[in-house]
Amino acid sequence: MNEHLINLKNSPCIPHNCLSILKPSSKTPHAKFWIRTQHLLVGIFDLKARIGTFTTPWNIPGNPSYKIPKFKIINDSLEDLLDARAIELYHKAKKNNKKIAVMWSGGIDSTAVLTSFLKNISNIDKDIITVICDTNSILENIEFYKKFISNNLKCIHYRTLDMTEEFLQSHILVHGDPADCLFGPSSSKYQYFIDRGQHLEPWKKHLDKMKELLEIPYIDPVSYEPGFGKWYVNKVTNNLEEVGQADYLTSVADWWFWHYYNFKWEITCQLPFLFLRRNFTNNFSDAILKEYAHDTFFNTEKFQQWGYSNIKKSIPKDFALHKKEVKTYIHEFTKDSNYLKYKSKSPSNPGNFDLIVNAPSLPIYYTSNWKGILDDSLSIKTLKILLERYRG
Amino acid sequence: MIKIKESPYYFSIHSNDLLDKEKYNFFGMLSGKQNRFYILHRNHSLLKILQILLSKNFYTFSIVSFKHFIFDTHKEIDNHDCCEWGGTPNMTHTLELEANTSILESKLINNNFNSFTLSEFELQEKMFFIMDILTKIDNLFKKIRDYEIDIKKPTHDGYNELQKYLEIICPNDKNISDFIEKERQQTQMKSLILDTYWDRLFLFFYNVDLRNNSTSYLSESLKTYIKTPEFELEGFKRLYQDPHNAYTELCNILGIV
Repeated sequence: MNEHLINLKNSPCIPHNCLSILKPSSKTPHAKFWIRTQHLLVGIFDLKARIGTFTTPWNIPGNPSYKIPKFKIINDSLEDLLDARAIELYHKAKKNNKKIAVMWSGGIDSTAVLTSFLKNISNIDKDIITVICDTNSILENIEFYKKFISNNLKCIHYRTLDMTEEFLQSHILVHGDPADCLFGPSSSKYQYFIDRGQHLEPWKKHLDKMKELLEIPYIDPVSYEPGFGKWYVNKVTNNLEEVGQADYLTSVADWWFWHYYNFKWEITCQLPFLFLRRNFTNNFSDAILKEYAHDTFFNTEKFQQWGYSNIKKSIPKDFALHKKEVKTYIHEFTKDSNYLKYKSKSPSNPGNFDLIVNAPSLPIYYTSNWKGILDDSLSIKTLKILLERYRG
Repeated sequence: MIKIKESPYYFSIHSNDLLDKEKYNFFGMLSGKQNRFYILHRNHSLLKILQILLSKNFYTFSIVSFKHFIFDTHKEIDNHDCCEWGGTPNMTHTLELEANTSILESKLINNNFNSFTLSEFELQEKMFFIMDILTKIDNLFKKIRDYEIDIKKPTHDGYNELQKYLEIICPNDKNISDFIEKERQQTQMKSLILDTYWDRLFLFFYNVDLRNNSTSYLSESLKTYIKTPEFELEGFKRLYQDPHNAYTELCNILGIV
């Protein structure tokens, strides 16, 4: 077995944006389907099931640090959970003499994270916080920056930061991902149903339309692969039914919640390893990776159970109320009524996105310790063989 | 007799699209030892690279600016006949890296030399080969840079306004100007990465033995080097494929299929 095959068995990420260079020659469509997932779905960097069947070309097992919690309805308030998590991480940082680095995109989720610390840490201790942001963050929430960050908190520009083992030894890194899943998952893929007021109707009723919407060639003519929609919708649906959640997660919006909650969660929690590094050849120790997972703000059993329990509330009939709970939490601290009233979800580029996208060479996959492996001929060959053997 | 004009790397310094005032603004690479020109070119910066490469291989050449040089004796001098010409002795006695053409009566003279020997011709052809590659790649990179500057101009201008107004909203802020400077640099990144590729090409020519290798060997070695992981050709392809199609152009220049 070659070294790449051994590495791949435990890879945390085989980034979809690098797959196009593989150019599979397979006669079966599944290799091409897999490559198309990056274009036809939103914000996909890798996909892996936390529970149930979902075959991938690599079939890499899930990381226990990001395992799916027990499906349980809880009554905790979001406010209590946010406050408790900030206090927990603050005490941990104090105890271990670490700083808290908050990746603040200016969006709703990361503003909620930063708010939770500002609310629960006394002014005298504010120097424990470092805000990682850029001018886009400032523009997304100018008033918040002006009142709570400017001349108040230490800031580092995204592009200055290099997330290394040493950085994680001295900082607890927190960010807003994957709160988008918990507070109402990405809406663009079911916008068609939102526009028609059908997003809370049963997915069983709309499966054909859901397949068709992932199929339509004019959305992305270059990536169009006939049959993708049917294949992908069936794949996710089969998983949802297999794990026994089809009677609880019943609407079109729930279906897309499941898509995020089960398949995107693990990689989304770890996005800084893709977008906050300047040198991909660095390794991270097992201990620091475990700590990172533990400290990922929303990667707790309670937050996930809150998201699961409140799914019907988080995705309302009237989409203007989207993320209302989390905006209310921010508003109670900032008293910014305009924010509560008018702020809506907008996508943010993660970290050093431009820097990474424009880098001359990118890793084609990562080892279990997040060391990036560049696209040498053997790594490409190995991935290509696995991809060509893929039968969906 | 071997003539440089028959070399595939030959080029003329005269073209129809030159403005009159630019016509005589060019430079010559003059052998100090022989007092004869080996190559003429309009880009001083590229000639300087050539001069460094030649010096490393123990060839001494001086750059002569024709703009400040009296060459009325042969106003139409070009690359095909420059090797028959040199400078007056008072100039060549004091040859430096950049020839001093302000010395009294420094001017172009015909030396009535014999034709180049085979080894002299080979050296001259290597110089043409290097300048041909460098000129074409320099033009390609300039095209990419100009495009990048053009498309990034609104972003660049926007940063000025952004800084001005954000600093009014947040007086005494210590981050905004620093952030904007960093992001401004980021907008120039594609242009800056071109410098890295240029440096790699320069180092290839610097490290190769010009004296003891033929032009065809240099050409093949360059093609091989471009395909090595160190050159990062795939990265170049990814960065500059659209809309410049620079990757294909680069491959054409280097003769890579």
